[in-house]
Amino acid sequence: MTENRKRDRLEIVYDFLSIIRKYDNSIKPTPLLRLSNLSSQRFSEYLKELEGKEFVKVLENRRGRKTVTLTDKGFRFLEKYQVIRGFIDDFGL
Amino acid sequence: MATGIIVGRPFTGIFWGLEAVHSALIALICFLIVLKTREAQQLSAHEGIRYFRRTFLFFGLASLLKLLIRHLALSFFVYPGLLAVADWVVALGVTGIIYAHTMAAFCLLYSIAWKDRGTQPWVLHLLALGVALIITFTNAAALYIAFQIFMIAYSAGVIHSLGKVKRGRSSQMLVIYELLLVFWMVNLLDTLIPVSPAWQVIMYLASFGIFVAILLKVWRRLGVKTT
Repeated sequence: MTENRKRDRLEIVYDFLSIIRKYDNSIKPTPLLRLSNLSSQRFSEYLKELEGKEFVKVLENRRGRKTVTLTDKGFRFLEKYQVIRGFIDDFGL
Repeated sequence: MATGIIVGRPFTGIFWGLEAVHSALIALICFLIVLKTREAQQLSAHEGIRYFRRTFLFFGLASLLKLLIRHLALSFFVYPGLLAVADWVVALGVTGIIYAHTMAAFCLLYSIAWKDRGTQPWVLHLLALGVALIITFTNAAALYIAFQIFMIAYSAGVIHSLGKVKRGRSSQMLVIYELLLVFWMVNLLDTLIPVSPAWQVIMYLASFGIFVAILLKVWRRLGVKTT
């Protein structure tokens, strides 16, 4: 995750989902924002997109506190990421 | 109408069968590549993978249509009553083949150069359809050849320039793309010029080998387990 070069979209998604998995699949939005190294606007866009694509779920408890968790599809993405990355690199896509 | 472009070669016994088998196998390989890359596309929503899949979808469709049209053309001789509609059916098929082939070429280019080119997909469809209709309905075989040569030269230029930028593992794949261009040329020759049977067999084997190499590369990279 530590890198100086600009991350592409796929890497950002991978980092985003990896952080959630690292925190036992439950993390509040604020630390997720900090750890993902994104601006708050881009963070919101990514969170919305990933929720829309059913990679993550945003759960809210009775106190109104939100946590972000991975769905099965999110886990599947993490599992397949290296393979997909390798495919993109191999085929120069 | 440019029906002679695709069905111009005489129907000669074993080579008719050979061509049918070749077209069917190429279509099958293309559709296997499309299926095999489905999950990678669904999970990543990567533009390069999207265009890569479309390349093989259109190559597959072109092969399938070629097979179908040649088969239909043969049935016109068996059932002379169908000759009244033969021209239109074949023209429609030829339009479809040129369209699919042109789209495959566009998608191949976009799969490797999508970051630098912002054209909307519908522009490509419109362009490919326009080219297909013009060539079919003006019966401009020369125009078809000129367009294909232009596309091959342009693609070769793009692939060559990318080869200079993208080194390492991906440059191996650029060789495969260059081979695909060779297939394209082989296909062009096969479509337009009635060549000797031996040469025809070599061309079929060469193009088949290129597609198998790509399929194996996809298979190895994405794993044997299907989605």
